[in-house]
Amino acid sequence: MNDQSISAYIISVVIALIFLLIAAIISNLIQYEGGSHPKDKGKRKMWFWIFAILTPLVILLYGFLIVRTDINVPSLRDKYTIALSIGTGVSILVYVLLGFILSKIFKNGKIGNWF
Amino acid sequence: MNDKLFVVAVGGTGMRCLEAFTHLCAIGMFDNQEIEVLTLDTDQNNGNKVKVENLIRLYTRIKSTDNICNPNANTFFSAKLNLHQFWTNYEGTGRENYRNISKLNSGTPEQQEENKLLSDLFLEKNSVQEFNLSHGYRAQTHLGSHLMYHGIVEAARNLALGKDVKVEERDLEKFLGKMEKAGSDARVFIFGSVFGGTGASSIPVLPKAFKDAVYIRSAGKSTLDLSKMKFGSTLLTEYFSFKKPDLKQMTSKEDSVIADSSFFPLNSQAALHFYQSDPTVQSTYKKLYLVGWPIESKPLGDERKEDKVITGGANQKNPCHITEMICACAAYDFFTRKDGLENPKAEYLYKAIEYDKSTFNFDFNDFVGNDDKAGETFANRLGAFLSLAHIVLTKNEAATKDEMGTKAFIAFLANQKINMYLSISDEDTIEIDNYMKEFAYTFDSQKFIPGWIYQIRGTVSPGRFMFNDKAFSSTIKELNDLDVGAIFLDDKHHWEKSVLSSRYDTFCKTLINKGEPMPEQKANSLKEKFLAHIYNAITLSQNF
Repeated sequence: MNDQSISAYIISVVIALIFLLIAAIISNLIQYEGGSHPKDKGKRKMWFWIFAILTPLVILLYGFLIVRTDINVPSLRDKYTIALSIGTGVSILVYVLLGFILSKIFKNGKIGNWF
Repeated sequence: MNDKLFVVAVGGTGMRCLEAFTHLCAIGMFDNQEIEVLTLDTDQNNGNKVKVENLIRLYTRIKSTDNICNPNANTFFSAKLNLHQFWTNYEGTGRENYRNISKLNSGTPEQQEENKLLSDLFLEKNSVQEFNLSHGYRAQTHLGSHLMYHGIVEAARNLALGKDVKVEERDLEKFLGKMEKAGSDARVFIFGSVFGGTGASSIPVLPKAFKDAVYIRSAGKSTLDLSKMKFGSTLLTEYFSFKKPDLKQMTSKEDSVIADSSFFPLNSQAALHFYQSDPTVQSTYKKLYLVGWPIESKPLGDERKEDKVITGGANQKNPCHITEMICACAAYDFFTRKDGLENPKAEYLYKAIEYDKSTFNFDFNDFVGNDDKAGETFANRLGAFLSLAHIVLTKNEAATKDEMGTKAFIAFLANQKINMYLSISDEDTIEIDNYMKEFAYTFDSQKFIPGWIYQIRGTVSPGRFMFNDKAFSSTIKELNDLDVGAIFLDDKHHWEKSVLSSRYDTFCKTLINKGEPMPEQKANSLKEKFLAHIYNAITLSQNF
């Protein structure tokens, strides 16, 4: 496995973790609401899934537009493309799985609203 | 303090004092207590009486699960209240006025003549002897004391005979039975005014009437030792007025006597003179709390535009006044005293409140003192209950939408995976909402309806009344903007907030993470646990 491929995996996971952290911060910033139709729970859930969608998009955009264009060797570029695709898939899994685990660990808190 | 507590409310003012007392129980001022309550009136359907009885029933339903209700500690609705009702029956032929009920026209001609002469000596012949008694004694206390005493004694005779015993007589029997059982451990506090009719008539004679009733009911086998029992009462002087009765209303015999509030100060003066010198009162009461309102009060009936003076009945629903709350706090003082109740002669108690720029300014300690941090406890609990009322009524919309309020609050907890309260029924949550409406406010369409604490505060305004003025917002917009965690005048009791978290948000976090009921709170049922949980979270948020 070459350096570019390794960086594709690392960047994918790091972006997933950063976005998960941002989703957690935003969820905690959303205030509890009262009333017949409180929207706070829905908002937290919404931001979690927005970042779930943003995670692969940002990874792919970053990988294809910034990293991939700098690779001049076609075989390495192909390997990087494969690694980026797998890394993106893994990042989605990491994001959702970690989100689910955190949601269950802090089930009574605000991020408990994710699931 | 192991004494058994009894409360007797007499007449319209007494009922409103009892209303204030019930709210003190709701905020949690009488921990671990089971209190026997007797409502005593001449009029079964009096508006104030019906209102407070319904309030106590609502209170008890909130506390009960499967008809089981127990006292708790350090929580809302901590005391258990057992309601008893007794009314002197002046309905039906032969019971409608003094002349008929005293049977002046029975007996031998000589007896009739003597009865008539004696009655005419004390009671004005064509008015006092003739007016309809079903709306009370109409400031005729000399008649009222006589009739109230005999009303109770008559009930005791019926109970002793066991024939045609009425439901209210059975209820009186239960109340007296508990008093008899408590014996010298009974602490009895009587609410009533000294300037009006029924209350003023009853306060002097009630201890003796209870004693004689127990004696008669038991056929001489039992009695109450008034020298050992602890009786207390308020001597509440005039604090409201109403329009003068017009001659047209007084032309009928049944309305020939109508209380005239312009005489209330004179009535009060005479009553105080009486209470100062009467040996029976002095030997039966341990503490008498002088409560008065030395500035002019808003006249009753202004908003209602009544053309007649309301003498009683279902329409008598006067707004609440701070003096009634002070009377309830007098009961708190009486019930929580550790000593000073062995005195052979009544002790008169009074205190003064800060008066500045033509208004009174009230602080928490003015109501309950600060022995054993009572003032702090009062601030904590009243503040907690007022915050809860705003949370239920405005934050969770019970004041404007049915079936929201507490139910929405439980749904919020469920959203945070605290599902244990989901099995509290809708009926139960609506009852908590209804109590909050009685305590604080509600809306009828867009019209604001003030509840008890708002009415009380209205009688002090623009003076200071313990809390921030914003705590008594009265429009939907103001209430929506209200910060429920910042109702105190002292910032140190405001709920915490940060740049990232509002006070309500911080409170919710406390509720979710910390407020679990503790064993010493004795919260057994789910409803009790729910109330204790909220109480704990608010108390923690208030930094008490």
